[in-house]
Amino acid sequence: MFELLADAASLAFTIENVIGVLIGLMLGATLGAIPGLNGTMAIALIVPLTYFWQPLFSIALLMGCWKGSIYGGSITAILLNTPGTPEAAATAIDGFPLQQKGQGRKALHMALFASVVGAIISDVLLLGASGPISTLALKFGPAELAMLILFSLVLVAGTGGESHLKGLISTMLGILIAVVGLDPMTAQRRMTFDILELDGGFDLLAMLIGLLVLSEIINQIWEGGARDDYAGDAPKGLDRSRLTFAEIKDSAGVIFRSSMIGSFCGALPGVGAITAAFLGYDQARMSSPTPEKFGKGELRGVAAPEAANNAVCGSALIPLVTLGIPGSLSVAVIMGAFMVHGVSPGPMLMIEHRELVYALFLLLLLSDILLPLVALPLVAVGQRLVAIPKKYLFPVIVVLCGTGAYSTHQSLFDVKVMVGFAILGFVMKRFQLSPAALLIAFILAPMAEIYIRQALRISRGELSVFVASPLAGGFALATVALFGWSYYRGRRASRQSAHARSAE
Amino acid sequence: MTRLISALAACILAATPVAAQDYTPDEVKLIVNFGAGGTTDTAARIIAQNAAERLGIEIAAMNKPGAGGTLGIAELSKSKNDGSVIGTVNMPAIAIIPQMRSVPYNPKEDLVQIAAVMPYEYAIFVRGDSPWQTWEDLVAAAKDKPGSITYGQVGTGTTNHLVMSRIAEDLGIDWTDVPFQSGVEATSALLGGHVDLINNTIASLVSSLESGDVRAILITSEERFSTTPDVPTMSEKGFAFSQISWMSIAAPAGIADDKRSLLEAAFRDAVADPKVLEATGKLDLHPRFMSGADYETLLGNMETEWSPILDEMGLKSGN
Amino acid sequence: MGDDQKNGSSRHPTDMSGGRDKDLAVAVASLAFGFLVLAVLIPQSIGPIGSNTTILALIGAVGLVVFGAVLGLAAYRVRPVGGDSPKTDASGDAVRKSGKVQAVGLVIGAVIYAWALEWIGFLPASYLTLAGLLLLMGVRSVLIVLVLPVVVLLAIYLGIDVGLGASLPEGRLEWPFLTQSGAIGTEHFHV
Repeated sequence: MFELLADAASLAFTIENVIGVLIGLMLGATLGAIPGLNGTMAIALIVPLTYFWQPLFSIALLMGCWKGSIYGGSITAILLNTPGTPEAAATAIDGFPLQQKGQGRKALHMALFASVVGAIISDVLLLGASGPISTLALKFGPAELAMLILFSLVLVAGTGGESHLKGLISTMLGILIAVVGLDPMTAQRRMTFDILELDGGFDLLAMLIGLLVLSEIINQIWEGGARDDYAGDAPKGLDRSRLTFAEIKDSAGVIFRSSMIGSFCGALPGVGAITAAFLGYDQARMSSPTPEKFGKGELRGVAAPEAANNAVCGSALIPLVTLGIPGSLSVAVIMGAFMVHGVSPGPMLMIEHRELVYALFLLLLLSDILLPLVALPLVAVGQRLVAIPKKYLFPVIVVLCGTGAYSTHQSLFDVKVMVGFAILGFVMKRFQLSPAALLIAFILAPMAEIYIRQALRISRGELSVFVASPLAGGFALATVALFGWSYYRGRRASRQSAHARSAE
Repeated sequence: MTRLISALAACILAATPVAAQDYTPDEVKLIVNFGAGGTTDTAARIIAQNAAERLGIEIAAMNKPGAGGTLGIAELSKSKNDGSVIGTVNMPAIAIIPQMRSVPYNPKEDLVQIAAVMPYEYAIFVRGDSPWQTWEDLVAAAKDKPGSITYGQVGTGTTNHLVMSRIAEDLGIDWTDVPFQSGVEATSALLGGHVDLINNTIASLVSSLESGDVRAILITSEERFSTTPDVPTMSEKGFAFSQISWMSIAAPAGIADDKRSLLEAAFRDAVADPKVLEATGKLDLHPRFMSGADYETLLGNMETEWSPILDEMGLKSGN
Repeated sequence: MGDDQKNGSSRHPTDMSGGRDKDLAVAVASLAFGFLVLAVLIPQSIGPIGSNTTILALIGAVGLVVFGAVLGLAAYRVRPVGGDSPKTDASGDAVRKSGKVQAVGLVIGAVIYAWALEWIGFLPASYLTLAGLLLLMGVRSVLIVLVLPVVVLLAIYLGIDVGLGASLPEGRLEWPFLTQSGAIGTEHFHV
């Protein structure tokens, strides 16, 4: 093992690979931070360029770009409440209130710290335990995934809203929007109104840009106008809040758990960083003694989703290198880059190119360690940029939203979708309905539908399939327990608040 | 920066245009009807680039994925027919999907096939530890316990799905199809033991084949596959049909005949170029040429061949 | 599906002025939309109610109706707060009013932008949108209105089109002087 690592290290740590990682991180983090633009787009566009380059350099750059973009989204999520990437949607829930309280810098540093820790934990798991993890991940068939997704839905439904009842209404709306497209089993059209572009459903990225970014711009203008104000009514002057050691210690448990959740989600096909971020956020909220503080500027609410979404990166490579299965769009694109250089990901890769695989893992770890080097200057720039008055900043963001929605799939229809969801998101915000709850239902509900229907097809209609395996049964039980526990907590909280009111 | 790189590349790999006549316009847009970055996209770009060099033109690829490839084809069919726009086309999007649901183009009237450039290669796979060693084993097991065998298909109405149904019908066996959203998800379900077999492209499983994690037991496309030379094809097992799907290059209807033949010749030579074959070989893809006219005939045959089967499966659209 | 419903509805409507009206509006809207989906959208654009393909839509629609009804009842039971409208100074009101006008203008601008991209192409549409929005936001310096869009668009063009090699929409009108060449990366690699 040691010899292998030494060989891999000599392969990995060349000046040009380090430069590749740095360029990738810079590119990814910058694009990720700009609302409307994102890293997936950047990766797909860079791949053709990489054919000219050394394999490890190309892959280092692509991985850096991917990691950078997932982190970068948090910067604008915190500073402007406009998540730069969908993965950072959960980060905005508590990050932005912190910024409004004048603690944006602290939140940004916490996001960076949690991102680095999450990524390192995930990469260490990749380095040390990719075999067992991929074996475990394969055990998740349709029935197990169905129960896992149901559990997740119960955990995160209604996230981000003040009122749970309204959170549920947003959730239902998200479910209905997710129906649009072809039926996953029968390929019948559902609510597409014969618009060909809707056969694949609404594009997630276009929808997110509208729902989370442009709608927020409109809302902030509605609330405060655009005179000489700064975005989000942030306090004037440069924010000098500091992240303290005590706060890090306070969040350590949350970060660790989120990292494990993220690593776990990454290894499962189809369960991506967005879901991981929301799961991380909600586990932090549920396990907190003061859940009511979440959504109002709780530092742990920033640490949790950031640790979780960054932890997805490393483990998402586990199915790729062990089985040749790309778990997400970004990984599929990176897989293409591998293959162009004659390296086919899959079980043979570990046998034939062991040192290459470990060199890749080491480069991933390097990218985690180098992230702060790129991120800290970007955070400083970001803080200065939000000090530009809204009247200049917001029109630019509107055009960036259009650019981002278009260039992801080079589709003008997506720009219209984006604007449509911006209006919906704005109306929802005016009525205290949470766009984040809609979003997470939009992602999870159709997954639940597919997996349940697949499992029932496999079992030929036998419902027992959902408790037949220990994993499925375990998650089914956990779902019921979670339901009961949150009901109990809700009762207790409402009794306490009633008590508090009568005492007034 | 792009110019610089392409200039640099041109110096290293001097292109040698072989076309006697000049193709106009000298900049052509290629609408790729699937997503950027994957292996098929890469192969398409490699082929198109080589063809462009032969014509002495520039081809700019633009990805327009979505809705089973129909989005890109819809855009292609609406484009100008002066030779400035061509596109990739996948067989189901012009021969199968239009029978299942309405699409805003008529594959025969709105498109001209220039050349088919790459056949896809498919097989039926089982896990490495599966008790079924041969195709006969599998058929026997399926006959023994009707309905008990599950197969993962990669989308309702794909050739994978249709071929599996037709095999079952031919043999009088009954197996349960489980639709997945992609070949990737079907493959994980196979590896995890959640379905018994899958029908998938061979290219996506080469590494698992070599390691023995999966085993091909029947090649459903026309020819045996180099990685698994011992595995028989469907026709060797007495089937009168096989799983045929190509990627072709098409242009909007009305393109001038001389332009069409110039393009056809360029793509014919491109997919025969050893450099192209070597590059695509790394992606486990194997381009081959079929003339546009032959391919149009094949498409017509496919359409009539699949029509009654779609009808039987209840997939045919009402109108 | 976290806390129970009583908690959700009792915590919220009393919190802020107008909260009750908003809750009632949300309740009516979700009831109406839920029924619309059930009565019109599912039968007409999905399939006969009860078939497997309609179940997801059914859950969403029934959920909207049920939660809408519960929210409506809860909000209805809360007594209107009436009387003590929040005190605001006149200048604050003015800002708020102009903000609303600007926000509506922004929405209209975004809609026009989405269609303008299709017709006149990225660069002209973005230039006009940016300049228009800057004016709407109250920027009065001619220099900024004219020059800032140029700087921003140049940055986008250099980054996306030249740097990453993606094409930006040219528009159906195809201005002869703006037609871009090149576009996505084929030129980047040769075999």
